[in-house]
Amino acid sequence: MREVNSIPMMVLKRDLCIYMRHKGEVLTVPLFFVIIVSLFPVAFGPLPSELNWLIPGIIWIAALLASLLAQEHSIRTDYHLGIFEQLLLSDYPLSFILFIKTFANWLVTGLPLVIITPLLALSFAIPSQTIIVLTGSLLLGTPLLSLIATLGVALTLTLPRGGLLLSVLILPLYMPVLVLGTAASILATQGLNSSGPLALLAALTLAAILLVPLALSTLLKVSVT
Amino acid sequence: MLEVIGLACSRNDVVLFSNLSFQVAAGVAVQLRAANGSGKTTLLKTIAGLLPAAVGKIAVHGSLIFLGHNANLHPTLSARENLAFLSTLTPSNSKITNQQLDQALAFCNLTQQRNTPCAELSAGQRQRVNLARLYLSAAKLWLLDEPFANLDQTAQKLVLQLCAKHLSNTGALLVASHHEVIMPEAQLLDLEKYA
Repeated sequence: MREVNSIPMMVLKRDLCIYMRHKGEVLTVPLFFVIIVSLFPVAFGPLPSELNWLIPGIIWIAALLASLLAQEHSIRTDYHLGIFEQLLLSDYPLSFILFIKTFANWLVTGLPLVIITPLLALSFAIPSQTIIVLTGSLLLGTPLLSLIATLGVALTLTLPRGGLLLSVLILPLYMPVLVLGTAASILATQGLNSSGPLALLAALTLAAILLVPLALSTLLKVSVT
Repeated sequence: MLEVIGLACSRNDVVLFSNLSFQVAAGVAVQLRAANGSGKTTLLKTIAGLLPAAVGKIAVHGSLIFLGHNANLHPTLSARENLAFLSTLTPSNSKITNQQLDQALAFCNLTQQRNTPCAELSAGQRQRVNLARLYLSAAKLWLLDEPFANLDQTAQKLVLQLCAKHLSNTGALLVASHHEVIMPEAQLLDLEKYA
C-alpha cells in the first residue's frame, strides 16, 4: 500500500517548490514591509524618544498590510487546476492538507517578516526588551494572519475579482491580532510584564490552528461540489 | 465494480438526466455518448463522489481514478513533478519510484519533455501527462472524461492500449467521449435517452 504519510510531505514540498519558482512574488512581501516601515521616518522626521512606543504599532500595521499582499495563494491556483477534486478523491483528510498549505504560505510570507523585524526595529533605536517582545508577538501572530487570510481566500474562491473583497473581508478579522501584538510591545516599552497579551495571542493562534483547517475543508468541499 | 440505480442529476436546477440505471462489471468498458452539455461530466463527477446525486444510488466497489477536462497540471512544475504529485494522490497506488515515473513518461513519449514546465507543453502533451497517470494507476475503476481531447493518432492509440491492458487486468472503464465507437468491445450508453 502507499505510504499515506507521504501526502502531506508531497504537498509541502510541491507548494514550497512552486513559491521558490516565483521568487519575485515571494520577495515582494518583505520588501513591501520594509518600505512601509521606512515611510514613517520619512514622513515625520526622527521621532523623539518619548514617542518610541509608536514604533511597534507601525511595524505591526506594516506587517498586516504586507500579509494582505501575500494572498496570491496556492489555494486559488489549485482550486482552478482541479487539484482539490483529486485531493478529495485521495481519501486523505483535506483539513490537514489545507493546514500544510497554509503553513507553506506562512513559511514564505510570514516567517521572513519575523526575521526582518529585529533588524528593522534596531534602526529605530528602541530598547532590546521591546524588540524581543515585538518579534515574539509577530512570531505568534503571523501564523494567525496566514490562517485568517487563507479563510478569506477560500471564501472568495469562486468570485471573479475576489481579491478586492478579500481585503475588506479579512482586515477586520486581523484587528484582535493587531491589538494584542501592539499591546504586548507597548507594555514591554514601558518596562511592564507583557506575557498577558502574548499568551492570549498564542491561545488565539492555537485555536485557529485547530479550527480554521476544519472550516477551510468544509468551504472547499462546498466550492468543489 | 460500479452499479448505478435510478440516478438523476441536475445542474442549476435543470434536470440533466433521470432514471439512469446501469452496471459496469470488471473487465468491461462502457462508453458514454451524448451531446455537449447533456451531463457526461456531471455523471462522471457524481460517480466519483464530487457532486451530489439528486436521486438514486451509486455503488462503487474498489478504488477509482477520475481524469477530468481539467488537466490538474501546475504550470510552474515540470511534467515529472506534476506526475509524481498526482500519482501519489490515487488511493490504491503504492509508492511510486522514480524509475516508474520515467517508465510512464517514456510510454507516453514525454521523455524529452519530462523536465519542461507544464506551461510550455502543448495541450496534447499535457493530456499525455495525464495518460502517464493512468499508466501508473492501480485503481480498479477508471472514469475518463474525453480522454482523446487534443491527442494525435499515435497518442490515441496509447489510450486504447492502456484501456485494453486495464480491462485485461479485470479493471472497469467508463469513458465519456463524443468520438465514434472508441473500442469495438465497449458497450454504448446514450445519456440523451434519459434526458
